[in-house]
Amino acid sequence: METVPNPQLSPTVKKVKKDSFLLDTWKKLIKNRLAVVGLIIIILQIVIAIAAPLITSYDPARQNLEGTELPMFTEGHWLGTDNYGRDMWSRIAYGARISLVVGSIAVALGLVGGITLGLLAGYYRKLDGIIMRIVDLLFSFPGILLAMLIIAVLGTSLVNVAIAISIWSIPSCARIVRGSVLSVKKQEYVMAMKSLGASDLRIMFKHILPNCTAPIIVFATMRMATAILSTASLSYLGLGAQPPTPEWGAMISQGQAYMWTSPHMTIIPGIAIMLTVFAFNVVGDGLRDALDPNMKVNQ
Amino acid sequence: MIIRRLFQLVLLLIGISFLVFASMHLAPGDPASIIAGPTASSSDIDAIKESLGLNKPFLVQYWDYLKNVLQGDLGYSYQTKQSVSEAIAIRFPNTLNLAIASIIVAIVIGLVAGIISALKQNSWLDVFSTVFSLGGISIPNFWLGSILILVFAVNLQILPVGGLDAPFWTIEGMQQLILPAITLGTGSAAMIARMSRSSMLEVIQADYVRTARAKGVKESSIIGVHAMKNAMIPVITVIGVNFGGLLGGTIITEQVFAINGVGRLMIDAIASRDFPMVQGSVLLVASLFVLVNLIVDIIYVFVDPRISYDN
Repeated sequence: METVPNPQLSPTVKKVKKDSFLLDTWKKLIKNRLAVVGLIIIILQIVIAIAAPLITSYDPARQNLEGTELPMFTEGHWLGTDNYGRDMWSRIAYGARISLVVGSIAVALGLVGGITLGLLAGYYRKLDGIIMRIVDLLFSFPGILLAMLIIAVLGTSLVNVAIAISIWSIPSCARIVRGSVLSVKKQEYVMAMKSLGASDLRIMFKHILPNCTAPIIVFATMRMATAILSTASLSYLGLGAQPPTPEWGAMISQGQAYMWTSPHMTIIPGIAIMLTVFAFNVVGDGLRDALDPNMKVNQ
Repeated sequence: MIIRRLFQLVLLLIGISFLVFASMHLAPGDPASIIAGPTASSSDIDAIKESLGLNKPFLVQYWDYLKNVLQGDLGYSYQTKQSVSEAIAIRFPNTLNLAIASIIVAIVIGLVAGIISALKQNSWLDVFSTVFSLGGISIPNFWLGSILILVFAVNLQILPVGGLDAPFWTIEGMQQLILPAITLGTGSAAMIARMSRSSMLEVIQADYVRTARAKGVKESSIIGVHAMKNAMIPVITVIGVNFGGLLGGTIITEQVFAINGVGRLMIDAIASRDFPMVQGSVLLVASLFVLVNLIVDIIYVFVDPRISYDN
């Protein structure tokens, strides 16, 4: 008997071979125009932060009292200078370093704390009550207040700002992780691992955590936006970076006194903050859409 | 349900007061030597410790503090020796005015922008409002405040640079409130706009809206009565959450506009390590925040009868 080859079968079988999780997410992400704009801004900022010494001609702290408050597009200082004659472009470029580093450290520490608490609360019923009450307690401080309380204890500095923002990030992260753990915990493969005698730690980190990656990635991206904005806010209030550190928020606070004569001292760092926060927000939004399993079902 | 929530609120308030008290206790620096000043002898410091009860065990100190707080006594400032409750009482009305004015700005701008962009989906109005809501979330409000001052107070000279000393019902008071309220309200307006847009879009595609159209109900009452009622449910949560957030946000806005409120008091206290002042103001703002959240939860049940906290 002759077998009739099905012309449609082989190509479909090939098509079923799915893209990897990362590639799949990436493909969806770059379809979102706003997210692409955000990604470009973030990459640009990382490049500026890393290459700051190469792309600037002045030390960000070098004063030049003969060239103070020069306006934008002055020769040699395309973004002008501040009230001490420091080059604004150098300060913005080095400020990008501070924002990214402080933001990343704060988010990373917050993730470690939040993931640990969330896993424990979701996995062990006995710990759930107490951990979630602590989380509720931390949630009862509006906005930046918790960070300010922590800075009141630790003292004012950029390192303490990073610590404060990370502690402030723990409750929301813990809630998200706990939620995912609760939904994954009941799956059969977890039961199977248990009956095979895998340790709790192994199950938690090797089998449950990877299934909570999507919400954690979205959270981390959005949190970068909050962390960068909060670092700037706290420095603006004088609770973070101290002069002469070229931190964007501190630059705005300093520029305010010269708003009448040199508004560029206030306007430029503000635009830098806004672009960065906007970029992380839209990329976070895009990632959420790309990673949302409900959307996959619809397509 | 309300009784159970009130009980939870009391527990939460005790938790907040403990956390705030404990963090101030952990802070480096001995309060007695801060009060006594750098030239004080060790016997002076001991005497101050004795009089403030700082020699007692930590939990006893906390218990004493809690008792005092319940009687309205938040202690005395290390710096000015002023009563913390009095210092807060003088400044609190300014903070509350600012927060309320901002939430009004946020609700008006947010709802109008959100609903219009939902009804005119994909029009230029929709694009404009989407850009506004993305920008509003990303803009640092202390910067927005500075720019508004630059434009309206410095260049156009139609509004004051800062301060909030006239009562809000006078014209002068309102003029002083406009810029700070816009500054603080923009972020929340953006979130309310986003929420009301998506929830309105969802609702106007629902079956009962189509039924209402088929019945020949006027378009204005379809939107105003049928759609709005259901679209507002998630929006109310966003408003509630934002009002709490605005209380925190006043801290920064007060600094920008030199408003003599609780937030500025707190920042000065943190900078000068005036712990009773920090303790008192943080306690006040956090307590208000949980109280507002409780009220929002209760309103929620009345707006949406499907929600019940009983089970």
